[in-house]
Amino acid sequence: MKNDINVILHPTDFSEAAHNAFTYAREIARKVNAKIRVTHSVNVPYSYGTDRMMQEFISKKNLSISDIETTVEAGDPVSNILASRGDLIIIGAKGKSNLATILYGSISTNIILKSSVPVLVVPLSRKYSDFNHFTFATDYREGDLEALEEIVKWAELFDNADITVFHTSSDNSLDTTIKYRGFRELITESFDYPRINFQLTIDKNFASGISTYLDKQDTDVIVMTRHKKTFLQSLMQSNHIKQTSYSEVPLLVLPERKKYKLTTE
Amino acid sequence: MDATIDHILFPTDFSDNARHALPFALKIAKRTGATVHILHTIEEPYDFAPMAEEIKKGVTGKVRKLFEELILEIEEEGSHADVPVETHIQTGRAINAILETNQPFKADLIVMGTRGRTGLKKILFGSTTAEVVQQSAIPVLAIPENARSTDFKQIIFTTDYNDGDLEALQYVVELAKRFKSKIKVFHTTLESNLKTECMFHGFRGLVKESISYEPIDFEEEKSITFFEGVANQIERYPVSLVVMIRYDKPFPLIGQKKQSRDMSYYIQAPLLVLPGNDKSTTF
Repeated sequence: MKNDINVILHPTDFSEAAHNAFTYAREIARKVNAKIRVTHSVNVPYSYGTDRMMQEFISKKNLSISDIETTVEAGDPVSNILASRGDLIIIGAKGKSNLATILYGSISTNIILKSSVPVLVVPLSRKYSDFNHFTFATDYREGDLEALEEIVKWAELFDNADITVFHTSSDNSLDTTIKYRGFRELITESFDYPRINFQLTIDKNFASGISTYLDKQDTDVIVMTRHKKTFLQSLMQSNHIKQTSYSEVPLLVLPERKKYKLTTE
Repeated sequence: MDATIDHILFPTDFSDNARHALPFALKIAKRTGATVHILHTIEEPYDFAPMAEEIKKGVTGKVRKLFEELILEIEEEGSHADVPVETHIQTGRAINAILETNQPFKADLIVMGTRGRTGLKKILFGSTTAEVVQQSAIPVLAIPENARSTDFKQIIFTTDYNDGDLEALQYVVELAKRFKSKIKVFHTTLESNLKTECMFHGFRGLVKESISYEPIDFEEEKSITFFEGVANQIERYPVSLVVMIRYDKPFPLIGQKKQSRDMSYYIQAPLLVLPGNDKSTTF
């Protein structure tokens, strides 16, 4: 993990949500000994005042300049962020909203869908605390075992946090049962990490299932892999009434990875 | 599905292939303590014809005689002489009589021979056996003409992980106990990914947890149609019984591609087709 994250990219618009997300960037940077690159984009041909805002931002946070790098760039924020180098993007979300399309804000949403590095989306309402419980939402897709390997690294970083492997299925069939059991068995066989538990929920869709789960379970971060047409879009497009419960939990989105070598006998 | 076998229905047309299938029924009856009910159906297309009654009487007499000879053969052969056998003569279409549930006895297994050199496809489609297999509410054991051993030493249980498959496997295990058979749970898949990997492991785990029978192993063959997979199994191992589970939907295992080999392949092993219980079960 320490070798994986050297630079944390933190896009800011100097909003309250961005300030909150910065706390996460600072704490995680400390844990992994990474550098933070704070970046702001101005979508107008001049940048009057933004340099000063950036300076104020830095001085307010009591940061030593050696750990932090600031850039102000002109142009479209999404393209700028995606073009920047970083091993992890930490970005603030507008937080509570009942309009699904602006659940995470359009910039965050675009970053989530397009980034080739992990993205941590931090809702405004959630103040930083160490991650003690990760919930990994899986659909047993290719790459999900590799994603879990990465989550284990994160969990180890937070003093061996708990990991819940979570799946929602719409029917309680043999198919559902054996996929769940099989995935659990594969993980139990190939992972040494002791703090992994498993949760299967029968619910009409993922958004509803995760909401019900979050009502009962405290979790500090939801982890998903980015697949085309998957949970993310289900969440973003859902106008489920309970959606606020997951829009209040930080979301870590991992990019798709190459195939895991299964150890089959 | 109750695994008890008390009454075995054995339909016969007194053909050679039916005669060939009889020892299978008798052997199962011997191991399970069941009674074998041999049924012959007299089809009477000209019910209204003059002399119909006389013709019927004549035919019935002839069938009685054939039954007597059959019983005598069983007694002379000796190894199944102690198995209780009853004979039944009914009129109408054979298929209707075989599938009739309102019989004086309550059959829990149908054993029947299949005509000629019969491919697996023929057993499932396009024969009287096929009709029985497709419609029967109870298990059907189809015996191809070239099936040899009546000992079900090696059973291939084919599964597509449908809801009733675990229950069906439990049924087969009860049968296997009587014959001290080995069971191979066999799945074919055209695609291979994490989900199929999970399903293989998951079903195996579930079976091991819920069924206490040691000689079960598991195999999955990838990138292959169901028929080719089963054909490979029969080629590689001395398979003495193939089990399939039938659901209301058409056999889902049967792909449309690459059928040349399937069509030409003649199955030598008896085929047991179990009606699948489609109802969702909770584990």
